[in-house]
Amino acid sequence: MEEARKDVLGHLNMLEMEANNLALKQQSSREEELNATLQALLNKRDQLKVEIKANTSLQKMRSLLDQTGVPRERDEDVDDLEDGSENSELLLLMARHTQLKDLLHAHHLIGGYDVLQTRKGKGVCVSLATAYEGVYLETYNLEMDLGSNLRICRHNIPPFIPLEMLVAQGNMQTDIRAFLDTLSQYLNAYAGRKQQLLLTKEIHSSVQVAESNALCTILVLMFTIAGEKAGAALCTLQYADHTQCLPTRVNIESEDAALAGSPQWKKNHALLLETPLHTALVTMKKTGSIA
Amino acid sequence: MESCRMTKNLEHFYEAQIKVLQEEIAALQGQQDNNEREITMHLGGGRMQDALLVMTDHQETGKSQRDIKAHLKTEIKEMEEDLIRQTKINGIVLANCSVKTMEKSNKKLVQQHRLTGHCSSIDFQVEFELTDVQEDTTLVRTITELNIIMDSTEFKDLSKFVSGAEDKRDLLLFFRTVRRFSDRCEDRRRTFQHFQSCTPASRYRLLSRYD
Repeated sequence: MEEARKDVLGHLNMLEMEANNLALKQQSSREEELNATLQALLNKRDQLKVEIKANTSLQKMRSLLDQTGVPRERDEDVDDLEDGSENSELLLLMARHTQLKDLLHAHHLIGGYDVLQTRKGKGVCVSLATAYEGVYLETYNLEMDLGSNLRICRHNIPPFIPLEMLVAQGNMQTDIRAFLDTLSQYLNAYAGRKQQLLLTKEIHSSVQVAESNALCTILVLMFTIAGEKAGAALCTLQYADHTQCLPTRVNIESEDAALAGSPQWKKNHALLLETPLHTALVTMKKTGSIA
Repeated sequence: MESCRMTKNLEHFYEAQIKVLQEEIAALQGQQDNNEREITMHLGGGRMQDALLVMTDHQETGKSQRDIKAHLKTEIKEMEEDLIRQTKINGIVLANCSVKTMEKSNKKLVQQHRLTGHCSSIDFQVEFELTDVQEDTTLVRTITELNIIMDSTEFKDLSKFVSGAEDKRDLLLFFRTVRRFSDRCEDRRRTFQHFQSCTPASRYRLLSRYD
């Protein structure tokens, strides 16, 4: 009996020891896990702190540069920002780098010509940006040969823009900027007229575009008259000045001969001459002239 | 049994530390994001990343810092030359430019730009909000707000045009027009100077007649 009891006790002891060992192992691996996580988080936090400090120093240096122009390295304020002249110089270079990048980007955003040297200085490439009512539209490009005479060798300007005429009439050789400014005027006006037509088609589905040319200088629209006299009116817009976005002539015809002469439609006539098409149509709908 | 209780305490201690650190990290991340929004700088390309790494890791050898500085100096020189070219062809001198990020997501970026500069003798300060939206395959860029500050006393004729440009948010038209106006002012000034230089001689002749 004693022996059997000893065996059982011994067996129970062994089981208890095994259970304890297992528990200890689980505990220690859990501890290792938590410790590892803790270490990783500590590293991340320290890394972030250091990055924030570096970024803040860079921002301060940049603000200094913006206010005072390029400071000498041994400037008082510069020294305050970073201990160790090695880092101050690096900070200054980095700040100047971002300042230049930002200025160049700004030149691009304000519609600058983004002049680029090509073919090892033998050529030059310019970009002409267009925009209408705040929306940036197409950009057109020109590549020029810098030979004895300036010559356009490549471009993606649409054929209905009078490029050759502008080159011939202008003073491209002596004043490239004046030439580009004029070309830009034509391109922006075209982009504006095109955009007005696009918006008209999108917003005013009741208005039918019967005819339009590529340069968007002639437009024939069909309106549906609102009210009981549900008829149609044909409206022709002519843009004789290709450097402008507004028409120079508006003609309104209708089956009802008296329509064009009515006070409401005389107002509409004036409106179409003074306001961009898509905006004028909004007013005409509101006043109940068209459907 | 004692050791079990102690380990439980240790576990809780670790877990509490972890929680504190996670909160600290979240706060720091928020601070970093906020800093980047307040003053947004073009930190493009590997160069700047390298430079930042060198700045934050003090264990880097002096040699790589030297390399990075040399690379930065080269790029700075190239950009300075480029800036001179752009300034010349655009006829606009940009003195300062600062950017603030108002909104940033996968598809949308809204930034506020503030530019100061001059076009010959015309000083300007322009603030505009630029919205970039990624639509399918194209990026649509729109000016969603425009404010122009100019010395209106000298150029009264321009002020009406300027408010029109602001309403239509036509940033490009503003600069094209300022440039043309400035060119004309320059032409007028040169013509006036030419006539001024002619005056002394004629004045002498006039005075001598009354001696």
